[in-house]
Amino acid sequence: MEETLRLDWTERLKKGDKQALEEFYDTYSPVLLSICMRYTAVREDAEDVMHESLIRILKGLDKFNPRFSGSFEVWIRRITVNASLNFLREKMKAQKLNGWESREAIRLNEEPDDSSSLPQQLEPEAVIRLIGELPDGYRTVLNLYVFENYSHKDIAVELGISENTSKSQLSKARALLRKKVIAFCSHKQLVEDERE
Amino acid sequence: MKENNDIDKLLRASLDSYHPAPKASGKEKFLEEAADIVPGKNRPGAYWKPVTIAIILVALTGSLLWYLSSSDDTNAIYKNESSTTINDEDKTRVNQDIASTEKTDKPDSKQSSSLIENNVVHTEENITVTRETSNKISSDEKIKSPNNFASRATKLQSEPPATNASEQMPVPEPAAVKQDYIPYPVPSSTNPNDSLIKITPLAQQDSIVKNGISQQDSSGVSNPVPIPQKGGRMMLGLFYGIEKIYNAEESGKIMHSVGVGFQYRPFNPKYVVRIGAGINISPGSFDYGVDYNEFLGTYNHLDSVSFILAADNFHLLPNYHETQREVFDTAVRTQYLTTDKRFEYLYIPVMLGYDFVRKEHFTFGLRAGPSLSVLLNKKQDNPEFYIGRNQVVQVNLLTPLRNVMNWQVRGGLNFTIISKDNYFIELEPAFSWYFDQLSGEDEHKKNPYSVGLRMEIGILTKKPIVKE
Repeated sequence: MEETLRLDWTERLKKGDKQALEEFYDTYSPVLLSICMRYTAVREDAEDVMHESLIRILKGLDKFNPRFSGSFEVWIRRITVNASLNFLREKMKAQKLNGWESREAIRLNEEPDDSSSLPQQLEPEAVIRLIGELPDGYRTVLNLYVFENYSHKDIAVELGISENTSKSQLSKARALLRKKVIAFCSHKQLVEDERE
Repeated sequence: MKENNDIDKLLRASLDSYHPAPKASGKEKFLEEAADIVPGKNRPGAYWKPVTIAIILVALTGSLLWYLSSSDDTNAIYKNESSTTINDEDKTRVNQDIASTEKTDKPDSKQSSSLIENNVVHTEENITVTRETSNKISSDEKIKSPNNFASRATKLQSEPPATNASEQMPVPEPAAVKQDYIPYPVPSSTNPNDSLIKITPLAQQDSIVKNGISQQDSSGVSNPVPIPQKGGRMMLGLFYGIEKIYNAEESGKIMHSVGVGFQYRPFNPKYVVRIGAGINISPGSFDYGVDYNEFLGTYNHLDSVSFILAADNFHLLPNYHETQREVFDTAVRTQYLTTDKRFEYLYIPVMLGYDFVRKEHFTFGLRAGPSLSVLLNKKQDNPEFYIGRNQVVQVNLLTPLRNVMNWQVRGGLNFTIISKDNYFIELEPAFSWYFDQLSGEDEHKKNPYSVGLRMEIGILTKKPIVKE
């Protein structure tokens, strides 16, 4: 039923139906914004990239094959990820950075013990903020691997880096994020204790 | 197999249902922009409109140039004839011609050559008649009225020249003409046509002629007269251009263009109008995302079992009917592929130019103007992807489609070398600035530009007029 509605809805979008445009925006803009926020780290940038993605999706509706309506969301997610990566590429070009390989020093002896327990879940805003604190390269590889289910080979092709670099960046991203999560939880616990 | 790190689990669990609401102004902005977007504007139906515009543009420009070319040709003929000089013998002949024309209503060829000349010469020559000649005409010819002469003289000016002698009417001898009409009495002191025709003395004629185009010395020999340089040069050629494009997805790639060019100098040889039509070949590529289910292996699927009675009539022997079936992973994976593509455009440049240096065999100048590119070959089928035995779920084209129409403004320095045989070769380093993106529309992107070299070889269809 939902798929049938979606088919009808994309057809209406192609015809420029204003109500369909509003529905499209209301339905998908939050989903796409969450993707963009994971990549760009800054809310304003994320809104810009989301807007660009929505426009691209609208322009590319002719290319979407309705026979696979079930994967419409996969299609728009991919477009959004591509737009986010393009944004980061432009940003790196503007900052005259060489590439995706972040070189933030992580002193291994300071890495938290793997046995340190992590919470099952955190507030999403906090997670977005912690991800945003990662260097661009770490953050991008982490996003592609964890949320987009890319393999290291796919990441290497997408970002133009070696597979080993991808693995290394992911490993460092995890370590740094773990550290940040534990620090965040400790601080949170401290604040709660003080309140009590 | 992907490892499932605890930090990964934390991230997924925390953000799985995180759907933040965008700013309210974002929706307004989106709806505003979305209203201008027609997703199907790159459909094949939209292809004919720009092509029609392009054809009309070329036809109109071509017609205008053809018209200018035709009118200028006529001027050129007049100009070549304008150096004809008049001596006394000619003047006498003219007088006779006028007389004979009165009888035949047709000017002869010699008269024609005189009549085609510049208006000043033409009028004075035909109308300046000595009093004796006027009297002779008046007495010899049959004139119905005094105005007849004036009207006839005026008619001679306006009549087209007869170029073929065989077309001329035979001129009857004056004696053979019947005296059907009463000769008009000509007063001895004044000419009745004075009110209509100004009789000019011959000395005065010379001064008028000198002030005109023709010049005559005292011996009656004509001198070469400087001819004001006019346009009229047409050049037809084949061009080839090569350019490198920047600020586009195809940045750094080389584009080629070939076609036919037509140049015309309508007003002054220093100014040139150039149009053309050709094919522009541009390389490109398409990025595809191929969603697939990974092939895991095969198994023999048991469709049915049948039994037959063994020879001992006691045991049943089973017969298994199986088919081999493939097993695919249910997870959708994506493979990214890039395919090369060649785009062909109808290329219509309309250029205006000015020559700073203009010698007989060399010119150097500036050319600038708009060019229109209309996408002809836009067939974009999904190519066959080989991804092993994996099962393709869908193929998504990730690269934006090429725009059907693209305007550019182009400028360059033009060097032309002209041989003695009226062949020419042009070299033109040029810069082009594109008004739109080649693919899609993204206002955040900078406009593409290209640098290149254009070459043209061809022939001058009309010999140039060289200033003496």
